[in-house]
Amino acid sequence: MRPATFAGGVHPAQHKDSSAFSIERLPAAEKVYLHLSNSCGAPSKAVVKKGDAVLKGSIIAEPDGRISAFIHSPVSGVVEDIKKWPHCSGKKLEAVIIQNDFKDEPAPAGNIKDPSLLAPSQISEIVRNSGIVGLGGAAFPADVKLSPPPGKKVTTLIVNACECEPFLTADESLIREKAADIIEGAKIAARALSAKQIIIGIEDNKPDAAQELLNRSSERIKVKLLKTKYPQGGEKQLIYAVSGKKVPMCGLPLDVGVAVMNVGTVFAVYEAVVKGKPLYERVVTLGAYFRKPGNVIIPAGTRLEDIINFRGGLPDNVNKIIFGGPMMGQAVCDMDVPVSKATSGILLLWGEERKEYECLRCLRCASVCPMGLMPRESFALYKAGKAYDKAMNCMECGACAYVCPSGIPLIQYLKLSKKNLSMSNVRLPAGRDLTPLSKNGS
Amino acid sequence: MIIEGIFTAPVLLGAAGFAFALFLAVSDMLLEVKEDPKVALVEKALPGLNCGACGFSSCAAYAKAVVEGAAPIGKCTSADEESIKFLKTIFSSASSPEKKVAVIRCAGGSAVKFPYKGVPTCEAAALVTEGFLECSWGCLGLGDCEKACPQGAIKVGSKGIAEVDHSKCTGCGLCIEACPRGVIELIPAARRYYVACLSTDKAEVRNYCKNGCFACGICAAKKFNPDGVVEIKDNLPVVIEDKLKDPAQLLTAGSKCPVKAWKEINF
Repeated sequence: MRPATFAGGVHPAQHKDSSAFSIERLPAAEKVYLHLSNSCGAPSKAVVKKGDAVLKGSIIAEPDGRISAFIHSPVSGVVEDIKKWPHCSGKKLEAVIIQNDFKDEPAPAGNIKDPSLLAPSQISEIVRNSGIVGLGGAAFPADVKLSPPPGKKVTTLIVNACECEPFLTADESLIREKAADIIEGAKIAARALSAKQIIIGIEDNKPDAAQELLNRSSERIKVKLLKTKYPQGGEKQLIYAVSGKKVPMCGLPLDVGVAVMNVGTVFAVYEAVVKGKPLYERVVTLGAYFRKPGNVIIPAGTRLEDIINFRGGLPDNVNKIIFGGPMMGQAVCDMDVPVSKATSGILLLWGEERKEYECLRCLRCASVCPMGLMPRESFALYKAGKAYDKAMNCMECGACAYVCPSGIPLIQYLKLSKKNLSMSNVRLPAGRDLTPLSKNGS
Repeated sequence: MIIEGIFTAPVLLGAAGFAFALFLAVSDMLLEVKEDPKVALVEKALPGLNCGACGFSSCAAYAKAVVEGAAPIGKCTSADEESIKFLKTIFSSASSPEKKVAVIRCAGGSAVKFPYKGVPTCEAAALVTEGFLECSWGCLGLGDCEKACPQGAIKVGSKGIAEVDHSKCTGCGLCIEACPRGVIELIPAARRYYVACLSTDKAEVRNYCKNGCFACGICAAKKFNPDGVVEIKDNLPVVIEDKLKDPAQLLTAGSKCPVKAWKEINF
């Protein structure tokens, strides 16, 4: 059987060298820097003051609004200050700085109940109180996903194990070592959603990890092998490849009765519900030119410079440091930036920047766009002082800019179109379907 | 006979042409739009830039509004003295507009966070990590205002920031819309002095910019500012327009600025 996939997409060199490493733990740094805007949505509100003592796992900030998350301390120690600190977005944002006392005193855990006895609302409450956000990159609060609005029903939970970005192997190593816990976590999440079916989508370039999952699959929990192609892990692309359902333009997976969660998130749900451990650390891939690459559990808020020093220092010639994958990740410009819950990898890169030439109108960008857009339009229209009206569907996967033979920064033009569209309040026609059909079927 | 055809064609065409001409002449009389001859005169007096500073879509639309009495004459900031004099001969009530000029509220000199290599417009650069400067207020110097200026009064100069030639600036305000950072401001030309900094940081400014105002308060001190024309608000000096009678008041206040953030309009 041919592995399922979506139309478009690219095949960047995979560089999954760090997949050979098993998960290890990075020692906690002297100080951790926890940004209050740690998740998608409103920044959290600090509940500690300067000088307060905190324990490992105790709450230091609470959500401010529905789309917002709890933040827990990954170390025990004293709150040194709450001030503006460089964030991976390049801005300076409020952060709680905790001085580590290296005693690792854990905060008292709450009552742990058998997950099979918990009501769906209780599960999402535990998830909320544990500060779990989507670990795929967007850091969307997981409890919001786990409690669909009334009237919407989720029938299928899709677990995203694609990890389609080059270099990143954090999810793969997690599946290899914790497959049983991930399956358990998926069951708990499905219980919270009252979903009947669980499908785990995994690319076929991770045979070991896929085998671990296949060994534990059942009638209810299916594992679907997908073609290795970028962006296979994009939410809409994954849903289409796994179930054949198309999420409407500007719609949510909820509209087709599906919820998508990353394997890391599902594992965090397991740890929170079964072990009572809040989310304050995660597996991060240290890839590319790291002196000591690997898949490492890093406490949230550890400074980039500390991580690099723990792993043998900064190699010469490195001219770009990226948080996340090379396709969608964010280049950081300050060694003081801490990792957050959303950081799936840190890459030290080295190489020539691409030069920009005139557009050849080859439309390679359109042929690879997984959303069926014409990325070139955003570039041509921006030059004419206009915005590309379909840019709102762009998820900024970067496939167009990757294939562009002229090296045009198309994602930046698409972002500009998005900005100008949102400023002019252009209403998009709702419900129109833009996802192209699969070219080779599934 | 074949020769008859030669006569029929011109006769038929001539008759048809005459009929159409008659139709056009009649409809011209019936559908005539009466336009005030003043509109054409006013439009001729206006600079014809269609800059939109008056609030109308074009000079023609503004001219029509002026003649209809829906808009005052002083709205056109681009009109020169000669055309205003001309307008005064048509309308007795015409008054000269208050001359305003655009000023760049940044003197440059901020440290750079990272070398920016993306789309070369300020609008695009401002989306990437709030701009590539350590200062989140400063001019990015990629020239969006330069492209927007219909008078060619703005140039990105040797300092890497936009500079206004105030003798050319008509105060239409198009550059203000073009600037994603809000660095440009329109001030009355009579005021003459302005602060070339927008950073609301206090002492931290010194960490990233040598020209930044760090709210030391000398310009607002009693000694140099006896009439209270300058006040420090949100870590920046603000000119209290009501108390200002003479730009010399600002000169004495700003002359002691340790970073020379007070600048003068260049006429």
